[in-house]
Amino acid sequence: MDDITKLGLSEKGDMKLKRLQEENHFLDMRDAFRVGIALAIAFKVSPQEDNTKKVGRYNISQIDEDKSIETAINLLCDTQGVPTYRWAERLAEWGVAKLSEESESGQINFAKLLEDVSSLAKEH
Amino acid sequence: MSNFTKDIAIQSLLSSVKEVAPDLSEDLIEQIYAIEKHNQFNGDEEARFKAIKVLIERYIDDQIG
Amino acid sequence: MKLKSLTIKNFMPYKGLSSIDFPMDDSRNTLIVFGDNMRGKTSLLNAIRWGFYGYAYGRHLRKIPLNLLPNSEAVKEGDWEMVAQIKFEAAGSQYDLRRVARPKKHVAVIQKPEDIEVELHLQKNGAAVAGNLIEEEINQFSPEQVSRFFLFDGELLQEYEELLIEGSDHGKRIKDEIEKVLGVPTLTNGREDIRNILKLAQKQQAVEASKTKELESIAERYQEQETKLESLKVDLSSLTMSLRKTHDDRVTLDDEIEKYETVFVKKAQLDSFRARQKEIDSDIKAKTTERKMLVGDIWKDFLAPRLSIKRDSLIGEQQELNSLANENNKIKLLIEQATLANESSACPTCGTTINEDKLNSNRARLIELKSKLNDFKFDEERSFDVAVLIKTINKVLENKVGGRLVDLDSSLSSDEFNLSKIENNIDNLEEELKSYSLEQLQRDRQKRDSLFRSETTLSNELEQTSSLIDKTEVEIRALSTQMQPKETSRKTRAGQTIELCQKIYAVFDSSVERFRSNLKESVELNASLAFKEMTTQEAYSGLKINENYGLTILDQSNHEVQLRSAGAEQIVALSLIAGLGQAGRASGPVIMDTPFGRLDTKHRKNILKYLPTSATQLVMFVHDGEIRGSEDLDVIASRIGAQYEIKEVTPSHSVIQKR
Repeated sequence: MDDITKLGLSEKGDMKLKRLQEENHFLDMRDAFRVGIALAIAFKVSPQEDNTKKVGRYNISQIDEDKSIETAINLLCDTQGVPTYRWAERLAEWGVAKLSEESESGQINFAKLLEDVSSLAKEH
Repeated sequence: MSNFTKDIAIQSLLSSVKEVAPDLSEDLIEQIYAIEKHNQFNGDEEARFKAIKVLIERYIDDQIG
Repeated sequence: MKLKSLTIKNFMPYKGLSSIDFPMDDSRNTLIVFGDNMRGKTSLLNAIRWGFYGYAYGRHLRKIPLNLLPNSEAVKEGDWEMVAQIKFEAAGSQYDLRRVARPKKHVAVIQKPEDIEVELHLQKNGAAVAGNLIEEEINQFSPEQVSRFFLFDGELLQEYEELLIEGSDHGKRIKDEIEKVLGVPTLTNGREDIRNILKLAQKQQAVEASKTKELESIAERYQEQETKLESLKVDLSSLTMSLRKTHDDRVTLDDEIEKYETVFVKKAQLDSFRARQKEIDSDIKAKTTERKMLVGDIWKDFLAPRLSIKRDSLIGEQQELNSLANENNKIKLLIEQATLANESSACPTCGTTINEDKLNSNRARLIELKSKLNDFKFDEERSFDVAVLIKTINKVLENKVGGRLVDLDSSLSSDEFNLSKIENNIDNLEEELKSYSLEQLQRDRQKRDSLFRSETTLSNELEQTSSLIDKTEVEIRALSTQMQPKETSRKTRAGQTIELCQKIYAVFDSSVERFRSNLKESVELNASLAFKEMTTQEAYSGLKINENYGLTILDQSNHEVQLRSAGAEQIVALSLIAGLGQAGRASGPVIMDTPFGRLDTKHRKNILKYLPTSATQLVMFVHDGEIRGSEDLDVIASRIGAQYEIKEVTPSHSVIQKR
C-alpha cells in the first residue's frame, strides 16, 4: 500500500475541525489537526480505516514540516503495516473527534488531558 | 420656676436696689417681679407690658398725688 | 407633679389603644420601657409632648406635621382619630388631660395639617377646666418652654456639646432654653418692659421738649436717633429671621446630604469596580490571545510522555551499543598488536630474538583474536540510527508549552471568577444608585456650603447691627438726660416716669447678671455633685460652668480636662440636667429616651443608682443593648415600679406590653 501525500478527514471530522476553529479553540485548523494526531498517539489508539471520503486535504508539509509526527508515529505506533501518513490520517480522525468532545463543556481542559496522557504513558 | 430660683431672683433684685437705687421702693420692684413671674410662660407680651405700665403709672400718680 | 397614666390611640406606630401606668410610689419611682431602635420609644416621648403641648418633634427638633402623626395602618383602614390622654397629679389635685385629633367634617382626604381639628379637654378633680384656661393650668406644673429638660431625648445630649462652643448660634439657643428653665426671663423681660415704658416716656418728653426753644435741637436729634433705632431694630429682626431660616435650611440639607453621603461612597466604589473590571477584561483578552497561540504547540506536550520513555529506552540501547563498540575497538587493537608481533622473530622493543614457542603462542593468540572479532556482532549502523533518533526526540521535546498553558488556564479561571464577582457588585451598585441623581446631590452640597457661608455673613451683620443698636441707645439715653429738667419741681409726668424707669431699669439690669451668676453657681454645684455620683473616675474633682451653661470636667488640680470621651460627654450632660432640675424646675418627672448609648457598664450602674433620686418619677426608654436585663437592673431593682416592652407587630405597628 502506498502512502498518501495529502492529509484529510471525513466530512463529519472536517466539520468538527472547522467548528474547533470557529469557536476559537484553535487559531488554525492545521493546529487542531496536528494536536488531534498527537492526542491519538498519546492515548495509544489503534484506529481502523473507515473508508469514508476524505475532504479538506492538507499537504504533509503543512501538518508535519519537520517530520516530527512521522518520527513519533514510527517510534510509538504499531501501524500494522499501514503507511505512516495513512495512519496519521486515522489518528487525526480520532483526535479531532476527541477534541470536539472536550470542547463541548466550554474551554478545552488541556491540563486534564495532559494528566491523562501522562498516566497512560506509564501504563504498559 | 422653683421656689429656690424665685428666692434667688428676688434676692438679686433687692440686692441691686440697695446697690444702684437705694431710694427706690422695694415694694414696687416686688410688684413688677410678681407680674413678670405670673406671665413668664404664657407668651402674652402685650398683657404683661400693659400690666407693668399701669403699675408704673399708678405709682407715679401716687407720688404726684 | 407625678404622671399617673398615658393612654394613646393611633399615635405614630401605636395602632389602636395602648397604655402605660406610671409608678406612684416614692421609693419605687422608676419606670423602664424596653424597645429596640425604630420601634417607638421616641414616639412615646412624643405622645406625652403632644398630649401636653400639641406637637411632636422629629430630628433636629423640627415639628412633625400633624397629618403625619396618626398611625399609617389605622389611616389606611380609614381610622384617623388620634388621642393622647394623660392623667397626672400636681399640687394636691388630680388632672385628666385629653387631646383628640380628627379630620374636619368637610374633609374627605387628609393631606395637610389644616385638614385636622384638635380638641383639648382638661378635668381638674373631676371638673372641666375652661378651654382658655387649660394652657395656664398646665404651665403651672409643666411649662412648654422648659419641657425639653424633662422630656429628654438622646439628641439633646449631643446638642449640649454645642454649649461648650462660646458664641455659636445654636449654643446660644440652648442657653436661652436653659435660662427659661431657671426663670431668668422674669428679670430680662422685666428689664425689657421697663425699657419700653422708658422709651415711651422719652418720646413723650421729646415731644414736650420740641415745644421748648432751648431743647428743640436736642429733641430733634433725639427723634433722629429714635428713628434710626427703630430702623436698626427692624434690620436686626430681619437678620435674625434670615439667619434662623438659613441655619434651618442648611441643617435640613445637612441631614439630606448625610443620608446620601453613602451614595457618594457607593459611587466611588462603583467607579473603582468598573476600573477593575476593565483591567481584568484586558488581562483576560491578553491571556486568551497568548493561550490560543500556545495551544497550536500543545501537540509536543501530548507526545512528550511516550517519547520520553522511548528516549530513555533508546539511551539505554545507545549505552549498550557504545559498550560493544568499545569492546570491538579493544579487540581490533589487540589484533593489531599481535599482527605486529607475528611479523618479526625479534622483539620490536629490544631486538632480542623471540623463541619458537613464543612465536607459536603469538600466532595462536592472533588466530583467537581474529576469531573473536569475526564472531563479534556490532551494529554500527544501528548505533548511528539510535543517536539520530535520540536527537530527533530531543528536538521534538524542546519548547514545550504545557506548563505555561496550565498556568494560563488557572489564571484565566481565577480572572473569570473575579470578573463575575465584580460584575455582580457593579450590577448591585447600579441598581442601588439608580434612583439617585448624583448631579442633584452635588448641587445640594454646593448649596449647603453656600448657605454655611451665608450664615457666617449674616452672623457678622447681626453682630454689627447689635453693636450699632447699643451705641444708638447710649446716645438716646444721653440725649434724654439732656432733655431732663434738673429740678424735680420742673419735671413733667414724662420726666418723672423717665427718672423712675431709669432706676428700675438699672436695678433689673444689675440683677440679671447677679441672678445668672448665682444660678450658675448653684447649677455648677448641683451638677458637680451629680457628676461625682455618676462618674467612675476618681481623678475628676467636679465640673466647671461656662457662659453658656456648658460644663467642663476638672481634675484634682482643678485644671480643665480638655479631651473627653463620648461616655464622659453623656455623663456631663446628665449632670447638667440634674443640676438644672435642682435649680430650675418645680419637682416633677424626668423622661429620658436612650440615655445610655455611649456608656460602659460601670458608668451605667452609677447612673442607674443616681437618676431615680433626682426626680419624683424617672421614666427611661432603653433598648436591650443599653441595659443588659437583670445584670444592670439589679442596681436599681428596689426602685423599679414597672417595666414595659415595645414589640413590633409590623414595621408600622408596635404594641406596648407590661413585662
